[in-house]
Amino acid sequence: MIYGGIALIIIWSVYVIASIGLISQFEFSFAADVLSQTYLISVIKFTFLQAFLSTLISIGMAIPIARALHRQNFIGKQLILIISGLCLVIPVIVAVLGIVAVHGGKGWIASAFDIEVNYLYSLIGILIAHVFFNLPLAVRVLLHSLYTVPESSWRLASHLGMNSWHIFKLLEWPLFRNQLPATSGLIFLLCFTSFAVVLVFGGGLKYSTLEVAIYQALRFDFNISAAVVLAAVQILVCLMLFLTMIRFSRRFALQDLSVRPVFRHDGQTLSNKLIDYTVLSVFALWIILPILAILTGSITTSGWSVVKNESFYKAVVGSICVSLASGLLASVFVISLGYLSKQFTYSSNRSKYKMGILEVSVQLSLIFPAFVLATGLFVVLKKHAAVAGPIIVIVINVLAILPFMVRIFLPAMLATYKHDHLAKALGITGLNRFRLIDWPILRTSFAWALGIGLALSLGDFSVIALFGTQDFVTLPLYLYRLMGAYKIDQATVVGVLICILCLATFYSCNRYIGRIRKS
Amino acid sequence: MLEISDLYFGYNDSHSFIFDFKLQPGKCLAIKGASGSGKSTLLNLIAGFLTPISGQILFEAQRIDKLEPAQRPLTILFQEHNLFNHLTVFQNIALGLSPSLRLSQIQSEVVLQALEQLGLADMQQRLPEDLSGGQRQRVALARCLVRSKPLLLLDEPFTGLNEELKLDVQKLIGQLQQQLNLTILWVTHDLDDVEHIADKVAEIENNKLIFI
Repeated sequence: MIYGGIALIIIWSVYVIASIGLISQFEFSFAADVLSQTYLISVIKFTFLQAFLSTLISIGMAIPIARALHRQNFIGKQLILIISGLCLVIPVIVAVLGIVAVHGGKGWIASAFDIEVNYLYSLIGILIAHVFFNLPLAVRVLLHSLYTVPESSWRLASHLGMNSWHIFKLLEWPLFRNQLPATSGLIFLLCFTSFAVVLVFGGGLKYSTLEVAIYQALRFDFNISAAVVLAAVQILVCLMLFLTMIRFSRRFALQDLSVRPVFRHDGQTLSNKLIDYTVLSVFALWIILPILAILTGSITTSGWSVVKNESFYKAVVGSICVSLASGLLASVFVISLGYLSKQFTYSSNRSKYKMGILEVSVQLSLIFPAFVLATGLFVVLKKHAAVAGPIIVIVINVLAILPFMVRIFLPAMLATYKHDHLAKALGITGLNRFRLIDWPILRTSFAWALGIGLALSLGDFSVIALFGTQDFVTLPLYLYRLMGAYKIDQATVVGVLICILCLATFYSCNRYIGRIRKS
Repeated sequence: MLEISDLYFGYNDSHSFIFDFKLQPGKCLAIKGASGSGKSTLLNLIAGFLTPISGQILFEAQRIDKLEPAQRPLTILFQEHNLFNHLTVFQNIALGLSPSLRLSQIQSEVVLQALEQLGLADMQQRLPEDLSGGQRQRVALARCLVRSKPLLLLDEPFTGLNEELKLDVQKLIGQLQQQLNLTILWVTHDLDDVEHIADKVAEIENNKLIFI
């Protein structure tokens, strides 16, 4: 209880300190300047537009794909699902590289059809990247909901002679309708605050989002007042979205998708088979091609010379240090907050109000722009500039991975409650309680949460773009710099290495921490 | 003797209970009542999982209502979740003697004796998931046995057991009571479960315990 309280105080302190830092630098005249500019209006418009279109396309495409995946059973279905899962964890900057390899001017599409391709560095490029990440997410959520329908319902539909449309209207749509508000909200929020994708494919006056505009105001103009104004707009919109999501708080599961063969008669007609397999082929190509492009690119190029560079090893060390520090710190927070959450959920004076504060505290990073938070902290820590960068990057990473880790870890922590009475009756308390009772129940979820946290930190490319120097560099930043220098071969190799590092970390956590030891 | 004196507890203003009764040593009191009548609340108060608003719980003339659950002179068999699924049968029983699972030679022998006595000797390295419902209750009873406390609280211990297993566990409880002169408080919704063992029967009606 006490540790959870301390964790909450630390989280809020970071936000309060950052806010104080920002306010101390705020100058009204600069802010008024920014507000009067048509630039701000166009940035806001574009931020909304790209987020709205990305959400619309992702959700619109996810519905037929989820239906097709559910009603067709074929070899390779599991592989498609695995790759769709990979899209959720692949570092953004690496996927961006894969998309360039497919859709770029010298990419696969241009080569295959022998045409000039120049749509990538525009709204279309941003949409392609956002749909690459979010379509698999939406598909998995909708597919998961379809698998919650008991098999007998599909048999009954067949028995009653319902056709594909009837099934969609009466069985599938009610499920989708429940999932869509929260899923759309999350996708919109992710696209609204998207950074790396817009930085690479957008930028400039025409294709900037609020997040990128904040970065540019800080990085190139060092205009904190402008950044604060932009951040205020972003926080306001994100807060509204966040509250709307809570209103429709049907949480989708960050969990394994258990797929079992389901017999659906509506998938057996020739026309529906044709539609389903066409849709599935497009989806498979959509998610596989960028990943394949990175893998093949790394095999066929001479980019491996990058491993001879001293700066590459600096980036490896930087990434590992940032990731380990962030992951371990976040773990301490996750465990402390887990116990606090259990206390709030099951104590006799439980209250939704306290639980609400805890949830909001954990998820604040979803609505608070990372760059603004980082700048606020930098203002406070600028006297210690040498260490401020790494500290800020780690703090921001901890706050960024916390919502995901808590969501994975919390159900297991709440499950330990069933042993509370027995443990109390037997006098098993303190460290004995943790070692003998809680840890064996928690370790699998903890390992998964830690694996996700470490992998996300390893692939993170956000505030490091602001604080990275020649000496303090991580692999994603290194990759971005290589892309900027048009060393695409070397960037591809670094991308593959980042993926390998992420997967190895995730696997190691689950293998060595999460294994269930049977006595 | 177990003495419950004006024990008052409420979840809220409209849902409160008051208990007042005595139970002689070595006797078994069966308490019947519908779901939500307060049977488990009474056991939770005696076991120390709930704190009464007022009143006293005495055992052998000593107040026990201020003691921690593990310090009270009682052991309890729950409806479910009696065992830790990730620990072996041996470890589950051993927890009754040492909450850190660091056992002395003598304690290990006590556990082995309990395993022998309850016919679990060849199952000591198994996990609860590999046992039947009846075997799981036997393990929980073995732990009650090694704890060697004079008061046994039973919270519908036959939940999920078939008739044959019920009789088996019933017989074991009867044997333990005679062997250890246990005082038993047995909560059930079906008096047939307990008719051979109970010395007294009571029912919770209108939030009070009434002897039948």
